[in-house]
Amino acid sequence: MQSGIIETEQDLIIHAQKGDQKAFKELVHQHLPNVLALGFRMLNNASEAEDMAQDVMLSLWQNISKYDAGKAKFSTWLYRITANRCLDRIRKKTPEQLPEDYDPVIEAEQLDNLYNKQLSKQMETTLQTLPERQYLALVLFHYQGHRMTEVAEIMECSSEAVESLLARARRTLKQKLGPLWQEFKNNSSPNQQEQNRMEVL
Amino acid sequence: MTNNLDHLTMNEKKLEQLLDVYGADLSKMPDPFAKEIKEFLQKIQEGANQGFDGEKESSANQASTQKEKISELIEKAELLDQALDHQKQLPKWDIEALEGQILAKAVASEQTSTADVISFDERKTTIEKNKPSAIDNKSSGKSEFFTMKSTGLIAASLLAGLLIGSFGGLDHLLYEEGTTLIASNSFMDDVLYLGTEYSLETADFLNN
Repeated sequence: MQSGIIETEQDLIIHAQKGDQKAFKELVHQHLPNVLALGFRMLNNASEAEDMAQDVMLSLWQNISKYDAGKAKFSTWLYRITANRCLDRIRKKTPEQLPEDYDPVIEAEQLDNLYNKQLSKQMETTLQTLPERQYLALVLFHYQGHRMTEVAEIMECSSEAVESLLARARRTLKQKLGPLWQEFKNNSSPNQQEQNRMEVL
Repeated sequence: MTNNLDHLTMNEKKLEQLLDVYGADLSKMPDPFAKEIKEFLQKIQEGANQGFDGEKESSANQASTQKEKISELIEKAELLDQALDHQKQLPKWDIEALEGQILAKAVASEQTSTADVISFDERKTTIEKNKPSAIDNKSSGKSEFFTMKSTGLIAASLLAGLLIGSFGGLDHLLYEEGTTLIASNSFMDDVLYLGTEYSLETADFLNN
């Protein structure tokens, strides 16, 4: 960094816009985990997520001068780029190019008996059949923990549209997983369920 | 029967809709909804314990049934949340190494863009140096004409091809629908004639 202590993200952005590599590195450090997480959840493949994250960060470096703080939060802008990159990659994928190293059976074994393999497999399949925007909304809201308004900004649509996407996604999942609920219920952690219910009721 | 839930804006259907959007975690819901749901659940609980208005046994039974239904809705939403939570455990990335790679690429990309600027300037000089003379310009104009002519011919052929192709499809359709083969053939003759005529006219126009 050129001089002084950079305290806020806004400072980092301004310095990075001027070509300061250390400021850029700090921005990467702050946002890379979330970009990777979003990529992994959207693309279902760790190495592809890495590849995509590198693309996004490189694009960030090359286009950071275009960022306008008045229009959107930096993270929103960055996640919008990430989401669009993910959607581009998903659209380019042919069935043969689906994750090579992904094995739902192995995945299921890592779930510490929280639910059975059948449900895991079913869930994975069902998630992959969701329309891409429904899935993106679900990933941003449920996994990435963004607020509804942030999701709407990232996806460049209204909050109502996001609500509708989420509702449709969850209804589809509920419907498709319906026959397996009882099994899942028996296999999921009773303590966790009880704790959640006590909090709600 | 008087019901102390009447004044609430919340009901089972609305609750289900909200759970469908936000999941069972009330902390993810905007405040008015979360508050409404809490109040609704509290009233249901009270109703199940005492009967609405603390009067009738049937009211208490009704409240218990309602409580069961609501518990089921919430339970389903919770199970879905859990299934989603455990579905995608993130891999452990070597973030530091990745950051290093990204920075190295960024530095390289900066150098590339500088090189681009230099080569652009060089190209500009080369273009200036190699600017064609007036005679060259004339010949260039001629070649442009030929290019336009051939482009026109290609476009005309494509258009004719498309017309023939689409009517060919129609011919197939007519045949499929049971129209006599003779009828569809004569129709095709007309189309082919029109297509040829169009191509000839276009060619004449381009030649002139």
